[in-house]
Amino acid sequence: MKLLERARDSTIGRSIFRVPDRVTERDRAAGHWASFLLHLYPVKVRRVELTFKYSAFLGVASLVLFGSLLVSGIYLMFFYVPSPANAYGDIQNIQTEVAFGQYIRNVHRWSAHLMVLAVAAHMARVFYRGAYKPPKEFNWVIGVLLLVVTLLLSFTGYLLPWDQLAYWAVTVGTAMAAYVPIVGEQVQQLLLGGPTVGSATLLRFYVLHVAVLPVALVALVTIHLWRWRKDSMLSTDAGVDRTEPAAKVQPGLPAAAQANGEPVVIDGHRLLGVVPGKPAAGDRKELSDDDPVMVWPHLLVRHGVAALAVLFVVLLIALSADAPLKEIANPTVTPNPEKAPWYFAALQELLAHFHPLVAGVLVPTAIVLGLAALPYMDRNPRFSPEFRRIARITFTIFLVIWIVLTLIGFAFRGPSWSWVWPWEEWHGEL
Amino acid sequence: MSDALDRREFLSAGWKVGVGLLAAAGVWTSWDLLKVRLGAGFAARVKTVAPDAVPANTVLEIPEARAYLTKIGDEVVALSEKCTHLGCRVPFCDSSGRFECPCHGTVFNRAGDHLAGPAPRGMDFYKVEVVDGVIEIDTGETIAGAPPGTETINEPALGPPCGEDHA
Repeated sequence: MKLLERARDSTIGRSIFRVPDRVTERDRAAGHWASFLLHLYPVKVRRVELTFKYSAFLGVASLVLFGSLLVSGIYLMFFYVPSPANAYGDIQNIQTEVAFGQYIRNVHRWSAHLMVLAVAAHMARVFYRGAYKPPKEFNWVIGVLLLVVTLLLSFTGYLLPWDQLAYWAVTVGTAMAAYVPIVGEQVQQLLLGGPTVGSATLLRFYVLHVAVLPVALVALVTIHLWRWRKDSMLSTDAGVDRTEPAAKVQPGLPAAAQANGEPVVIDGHRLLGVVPGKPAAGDRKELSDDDPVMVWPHLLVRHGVAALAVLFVVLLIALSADAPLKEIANPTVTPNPEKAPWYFAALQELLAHFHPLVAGVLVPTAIVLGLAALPYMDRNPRFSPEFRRIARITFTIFLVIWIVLTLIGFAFRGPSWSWVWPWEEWHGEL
Repeated sequence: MSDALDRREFLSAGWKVGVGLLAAAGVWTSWDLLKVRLGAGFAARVKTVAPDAVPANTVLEIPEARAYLTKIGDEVVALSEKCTHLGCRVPFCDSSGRFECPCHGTVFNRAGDHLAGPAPRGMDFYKVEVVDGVIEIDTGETIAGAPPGTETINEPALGPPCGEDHA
């Protein structure tokens, strides 16, 4: 440790690490300006943001899983050629010959599934917190785009092992594109690079998976985090009394403002006299959720723990369960049942009941557009749950329907999409 | 001066139009580069069997053409294996004498008529031609299947469907 400190104190060391010793809060703040990685963080956040209840650290979890996917993905790229003649054999080779190959492939597969889960859960948590409200509307929209890119990344990666699972899931997935009015068939051909899933498809999906989509994701995440940083000290109630019901009479305030239930702005620090709120001096100050705390070390330490916890979960799953690899892709045999990836299971379930234009095109489009438009449709300025009953109930209903459809499509459907109880015969595929 | 475009406005508008044109050109060239060239891959004429070898009560699979041959009356037809719903391969179920799609459970009869399930139309066809006593399937062009409700043939199911035995 001594050696490390001496290295940092040398001329060269000080030219690399320009962060001052963190003695005062001012030094800690200065650290944020001097360090590239730290500058992604704000200097201070509201105290509530340190709690697990606030975010469940799902945003951090999503980012850590993306990091895990980048690292394991680059490792896999060294041993993989995207052509129908090589792909399947390469995966077998990775699993049997390459050092830690099976483990790395497991990490990649399970991180991908976990990332879809984490991103979706992050989104739900942000909704229930009301954190998409002004001025954060557009950051929510970027979040919706991130969800779409995450799903596309997962879907393009699904084809690469070139096994039966991959081949038919992508056949069905891209066939949905053909139902888009007017341009549908051209879009499908553009994706496939031919009339059916083939070598051109594999190459196209590979390029999308390892180059186009990751770059798009990194760009969007950068903007997402930058906006989060800019808005970090904004109180969620933005001048609206969060805890007190509006109707409650507050002493010392204009009766008119209370009578019509308008939100009342109280600044306890500026007014003299008897006002509700925090005393400017005197009694020991009670900590409030909105008090600022230094990010270094309070939030960083928690994010560090969250990151380690996520990686530990990935490690445990990757050690205990192998990523599936079915028989090599065979265009003349469709497996029965044929299942889409689990995050599209709800869509596949809908596809069994409605015209593909409805289930495969209109519903997904409506979901994405609806989510993106949410902050502009919800004009309610309130944050606390008791004032957001309609919003919460509506969102919860949609969420529950989607989860139920996903579960049905994933676990309760057997050959020819017939109903099969999962405990009698398991047909779920990951 | 009020109506005329002044220099600043002109340059500002010029910028935007320029960027717009550049973006449009980018989209167009990308599309042109990535679009599928016609005739690439799977658009060949596939030589199959003599017309007499085509069965009238079941189907004959021609894997190279991804098609089934069968007879409706005396006429030979080639049905595309690709389900008109979402492109799964539709196998022929010998026990029921019908096509049963494994993906979403669409059922077609031997002539490709839509009987049940989510597919929007009957099975697609390919053109067939007899050349030197051998049927040739032209996979270059797909003829859309008949709308649901069409009854080219009326054959009741021969037996139980394949989907339910959890094969």
